[in-house]
Amino acid sequence: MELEIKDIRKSYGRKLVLRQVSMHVQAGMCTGIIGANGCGKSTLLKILAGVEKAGGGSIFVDGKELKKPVREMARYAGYIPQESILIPELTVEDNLKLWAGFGDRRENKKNLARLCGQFQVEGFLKEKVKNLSGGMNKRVNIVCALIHDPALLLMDEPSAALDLVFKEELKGYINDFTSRGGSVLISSHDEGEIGACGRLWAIRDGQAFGVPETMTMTEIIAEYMK
Amino acid sequence: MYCRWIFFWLNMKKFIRLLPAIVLETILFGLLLLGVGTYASKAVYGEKAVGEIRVGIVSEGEDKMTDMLLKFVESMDSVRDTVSFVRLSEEEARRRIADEDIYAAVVIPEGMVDSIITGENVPVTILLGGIYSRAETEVFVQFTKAGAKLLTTAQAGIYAADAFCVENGWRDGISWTENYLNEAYLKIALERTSLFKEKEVRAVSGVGLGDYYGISLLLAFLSFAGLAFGRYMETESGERERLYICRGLGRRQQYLLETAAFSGVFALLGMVVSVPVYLFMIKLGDSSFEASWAWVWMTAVWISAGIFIRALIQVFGNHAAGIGVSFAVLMAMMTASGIFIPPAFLPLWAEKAGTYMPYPWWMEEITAVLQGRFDWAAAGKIVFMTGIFLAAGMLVPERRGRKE
Repeated sequence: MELEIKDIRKSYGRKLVLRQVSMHVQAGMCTGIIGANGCGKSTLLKILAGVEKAGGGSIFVDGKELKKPVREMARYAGYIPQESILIPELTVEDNLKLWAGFGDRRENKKNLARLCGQFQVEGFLKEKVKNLSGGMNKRVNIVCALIHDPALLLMDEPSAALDLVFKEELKGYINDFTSRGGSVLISSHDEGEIGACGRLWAIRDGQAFGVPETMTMTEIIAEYMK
Repeated sequence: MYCRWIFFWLNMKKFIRLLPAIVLETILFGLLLLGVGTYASKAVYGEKAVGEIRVGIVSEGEDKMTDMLLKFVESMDSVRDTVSFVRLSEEEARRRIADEDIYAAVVIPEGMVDSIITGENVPVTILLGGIYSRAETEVFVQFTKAGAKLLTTAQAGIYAADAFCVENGWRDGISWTENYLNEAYLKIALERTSLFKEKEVRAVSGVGLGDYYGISLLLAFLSFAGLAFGRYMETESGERERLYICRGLGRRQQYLLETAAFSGVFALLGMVVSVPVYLFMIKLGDSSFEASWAWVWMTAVWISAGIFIRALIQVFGNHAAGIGVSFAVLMAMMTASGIFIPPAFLPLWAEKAGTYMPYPWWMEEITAVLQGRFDWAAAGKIVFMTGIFLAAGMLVPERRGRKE
């Protein structure tokens, strides 16, 4: 799935977070968004996930403009936010049932069985979410985002505060997802994740800038992350 | 459709799982309130319960008129129920006040009645015990102030009546007129004390004291339990809730389904706790309750209470404010509705306000159902009020969200 965004704007009250953000996400590729804290990376992902409404601009999927981006993006995109979307008082199984209840139940059930095996969640289905480790919690969140088999994966700092083992597994999964034609848009401060991206965009002063492929990590940090 | 059902069911599961912890929290909270209430009542009432107020009468000199006046006051029904008088010397009165055997003593000077008639108004001295309850002291002070005011008014009225009789040539009728007016003025002065005998001093009529407190305390306990669920309710639209919206489960639907789930669990808790308590009260023997299938209607009352609590927390938009303010609102409503003290003791505006609050309506319906009847008027008010709170819970956060 190819994603194009043009002149996206977003303000919170008087504070203009995103001024004129335009970028392109290629099909079958992992694209990274980088920038200093508070520059609007998460806000952009939320807009693309349909969680926030943009103040202006357009979103194109495979060349077609979305008339109702909030609802339509939910069909295409699976979103993994920084905070968990699971209900802590319920079990993993109950939470997965809830997310599988949206859309095509039969397809979702098939996908769920596959994803539980893929992310090694099967052994934790009866556990309450509040008793899970950070890594397992994130796995379940990823499963919830992928239940409806999206073509685009939006990840907001997915491996923040998680161990190296999980980070390696996540890299492996992203490669697997993109090799099957899916697109990934990942916001990250992690060198490893940034390094794994085929294309990088930097958000600064409310605008998006394509990062030249020739720049080293040190140059990227110096230029865009401070 | 399925996603709505599964959302409702999983929320119900969540609240059911929380029940044991919530009930335990509420019991601990209830014990804390009981401790505070006991301490507060000791501060107000002292070590003695409010019962009969014993007052000593010290009559200086032998004054037949004063004796007659005192005998008349003692014989009045409204005084007899509340105050008992005992004749003492001043020395004995002071000793018995110190021993806390009597509450106060009234030292009546010789010729008091004559002094009122002549306008000299020799003052009466009241000796009060220092360590009696504040409530009793206040009651007694009010009695004496009312009495003193009225004597002045009575005096003017009687003089006016005397003049009227003289002007119209009814000199023979002066004595009869004065006696009649004296009696009438005294009755009016002490009218307040007849409140206990003539007026229902409870929020709900037609039910004995034991039954009344059985209903009201259980309602209060369960209301606090409902508040304890507050921190597990979704009052703000976080990312999870917004993702539900993206998936087709709108904000209003989420609120309605979560409210339905919570109210259902709250009704379950209400029935499981209250039915055994009321059956036990019937077994004790001194209750107007009758076990019947009409008790099933209590479920509707608990559902209404659950919707009300949910709406209160939703309207304030975050857990801390929602629970804190909801607690204050519940306490104010319970007080105005007469759950803790009879509404007749409250200022008139508070008593009137209490009649428009949910608590008396819930109590009326529960009382009716427990007595084997169905109160259509109370049911109508409950349905109307529940609709308003459901709407408020949906619309107020939407307005707040638009402003943000």
